[in-house]
Amino acid sequence: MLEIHDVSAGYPGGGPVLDGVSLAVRPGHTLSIIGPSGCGKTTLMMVAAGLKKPDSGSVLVRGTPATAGDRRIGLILQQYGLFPWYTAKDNAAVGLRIRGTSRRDRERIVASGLARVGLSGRAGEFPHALSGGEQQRVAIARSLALSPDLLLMDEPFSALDAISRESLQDLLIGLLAERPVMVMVVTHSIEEAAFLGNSVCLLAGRPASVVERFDNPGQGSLGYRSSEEFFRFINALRNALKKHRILENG
Amino acid sequence: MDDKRYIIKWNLWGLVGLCALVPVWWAASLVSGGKIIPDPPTVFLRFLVLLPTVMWRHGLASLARIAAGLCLALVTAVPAGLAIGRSRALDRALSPLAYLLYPVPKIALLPVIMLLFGLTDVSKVMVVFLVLFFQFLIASRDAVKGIPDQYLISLRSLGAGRLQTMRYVVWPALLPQLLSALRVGAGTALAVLFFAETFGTRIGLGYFVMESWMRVAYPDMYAGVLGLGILGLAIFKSIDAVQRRACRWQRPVRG
Repeated sequence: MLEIHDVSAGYPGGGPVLDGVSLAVRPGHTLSIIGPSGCGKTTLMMVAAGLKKPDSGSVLVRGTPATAGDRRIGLILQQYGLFPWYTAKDNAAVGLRIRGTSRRDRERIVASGLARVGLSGRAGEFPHALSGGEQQRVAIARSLALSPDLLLMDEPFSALDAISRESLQDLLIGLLAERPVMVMVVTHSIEEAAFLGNSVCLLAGRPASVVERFDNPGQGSLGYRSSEEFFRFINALRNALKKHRILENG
Repeated sequence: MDDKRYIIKWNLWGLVGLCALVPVWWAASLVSGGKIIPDPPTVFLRFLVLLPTVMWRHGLASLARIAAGLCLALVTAVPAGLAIGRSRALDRALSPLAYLLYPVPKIALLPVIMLLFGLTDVSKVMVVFLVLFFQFLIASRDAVKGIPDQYLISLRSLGAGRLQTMRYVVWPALLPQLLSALRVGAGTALAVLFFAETFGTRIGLGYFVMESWMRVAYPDMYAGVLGLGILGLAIFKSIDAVQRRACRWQRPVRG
């Protein structure tokens, strides 16, 4: 279980960004966080990853506090965070190297991870030779190589074109079905929040807090994207965004 | 095309470029009457005679001074540059000082260095060191400042400590900048060393050239200049080779 209790956080000189945010994610579940740009979604991510200390409140992963470099937590960023000086294979292996995994195990885990994200043939390429979608696949392989309990994704697909974004969302749904990992995805795309999240939280206000929560029972299959239920859910989200004046009434 | 063939091809073109210098030189020799500017075959022959007998010692001495200055600059300027790049307070306090000292021609400090270190090898090494120090300091500072936050966040989230951050992010980001700084600095270092070697030593290519000049042995003097050029070429080619090997992720350096 990921439990975020009454977290408030801010930056020196910049005032509070988060105010009393409480969230919970069960293993095998994905929570989408949606909100306007600059509302504090990334701050929430950093707090959840243990990379930023909250001013008050707590973040517990399976009952113990999240800390910087927490082995149970994987983080995927919008700009992939791949190192340009390493090949796809070496990028995917960095986390394992830091954790002292033997070369043999590393090679085995990375090879199967890259195969799983469909990049076996490109293991020797440097990031500049990969498309944005391929780079994000490497970043996913790198995180999953560490078998995290909690996967945090900060606008993971927002820099991609629509086609790559959909295929990566499909890949992610498939990968998550294979393991009981807790996932928190921050996004500003209504469709993405609805397609990926078992539940969706609306983050708004300055400082930001959770203003609404939705359960999304239909989520989890690739066919969901073209179902009526999906469109109904998107409309519900859209109405909520309008209600909270995040989306302008057109 | 594979790397080896590419390198051979580029070196062949480089040779063609070098050969283009010969007719210009020859023409200048003919116009000047051949005494002040000897013709290329005379100088090449003299070079081939002098290299295995005396000149190799002078070349080696110059190279050793450059290598010592380079190592000293690396071990002092890189840690200092990294510290300045990572600390805003240090950056504010020390960068203006670096900017003040950086443009001062280091050759202007030669009298001070000689007073401090005497007419010894140390003073020659110090001159090279000073030329390279500021190049490396500013390159290291800028390299570490320019590392995108996302790399550091990614690495911290993967559990990296300080040493691992150095190994996986800072060093790879720094290396190309350092090699570029070295490329810029090496030419100046060689020029300044030449001048420094004309005082208080009887070994080094600088001494060899000046001493030949005093003897009015112009072919020897030009052979010495040729030696300096070849030393510079070897240094630049070595930098390119290191860059090609260590920075494979960058667009390859052809040279």
